[in-house]
Amino acid sequence: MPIIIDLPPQNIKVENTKIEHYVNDEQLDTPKIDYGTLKLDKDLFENIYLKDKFSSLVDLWEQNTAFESSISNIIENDNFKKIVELKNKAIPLIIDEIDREPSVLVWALNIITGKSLSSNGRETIEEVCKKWVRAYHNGRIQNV
Amino acid sequence: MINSELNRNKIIKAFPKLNGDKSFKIVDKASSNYNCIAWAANVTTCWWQSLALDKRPTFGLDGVKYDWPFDVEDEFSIRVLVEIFTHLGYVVCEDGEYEDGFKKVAFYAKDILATHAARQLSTGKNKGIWSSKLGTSFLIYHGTPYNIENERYGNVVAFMKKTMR
Repeated sequence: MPIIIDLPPQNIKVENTKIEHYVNDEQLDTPKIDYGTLKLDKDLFENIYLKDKFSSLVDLWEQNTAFESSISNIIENDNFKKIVELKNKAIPLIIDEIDREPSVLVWALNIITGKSLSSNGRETIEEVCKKWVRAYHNGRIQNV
Repeated sequence: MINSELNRNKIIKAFPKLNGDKSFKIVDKASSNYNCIAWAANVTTCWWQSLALDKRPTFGLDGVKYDWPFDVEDEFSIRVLVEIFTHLGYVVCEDGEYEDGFKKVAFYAKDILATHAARQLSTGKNKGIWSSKLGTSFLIYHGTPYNIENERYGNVVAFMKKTMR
């Protein structure tokens, strides 16, 4: 009796299968770059960094000069100088700080802007700090 | 409340010898209108610190007028402090012990620089104890002039007294 063996057919070429899937632009799900948002994030990051740096400088300056008897030593302290070096970027941060807690940090505003809001030195620090905060919120800081 | 635990602890942290001082009390709020030297001279409307002759007084910063009286040298030293208080009628004395009929001041120095001045109270229930204006910070009472010696103020190096009669 003949034996039948199931052999694979000869001369059959197996080709690779290529699957292609075409999608149009509307179907693309890759995130698009929103450069406006990126800039906003960069600004936000810079603001957070600036606030953090400012806060550290104020803390160190206070620790080093809180009981200092010489104004020269208070305003020539390295941390105070670094606050002043932030120039206009420091103004809103100083305003927030002296609004929260009036202090001689207001002297940094005198130095940055070259202006004084009191003429006779008799006002208290609380009074001049309030003046600066009002002037800032009224948009008068650049013109004082 | 000025004499709060929080404020007291801030000061004790800077002046550890005040810990346990029964006379230690914060008696007035922080102010930049005057400093320790002015307070020792009984002045509360001006900040006294060394200044060039042509800049006396100076009003450049808000909330403070600063000056260096009696045309003394532009130097923040014990020698110049003694000269200023001599103008005010004080004479150098031995110590800070209370003497009836006198008011006393103590001067502090670190290295060769003057750092602070304190004034003994000479009337009322607090007579004999000491008072200090701490920079732009609070005005405090303390039991002895030595209780505010620290790293920053250094040590008491001179006393002066003035008769009240």
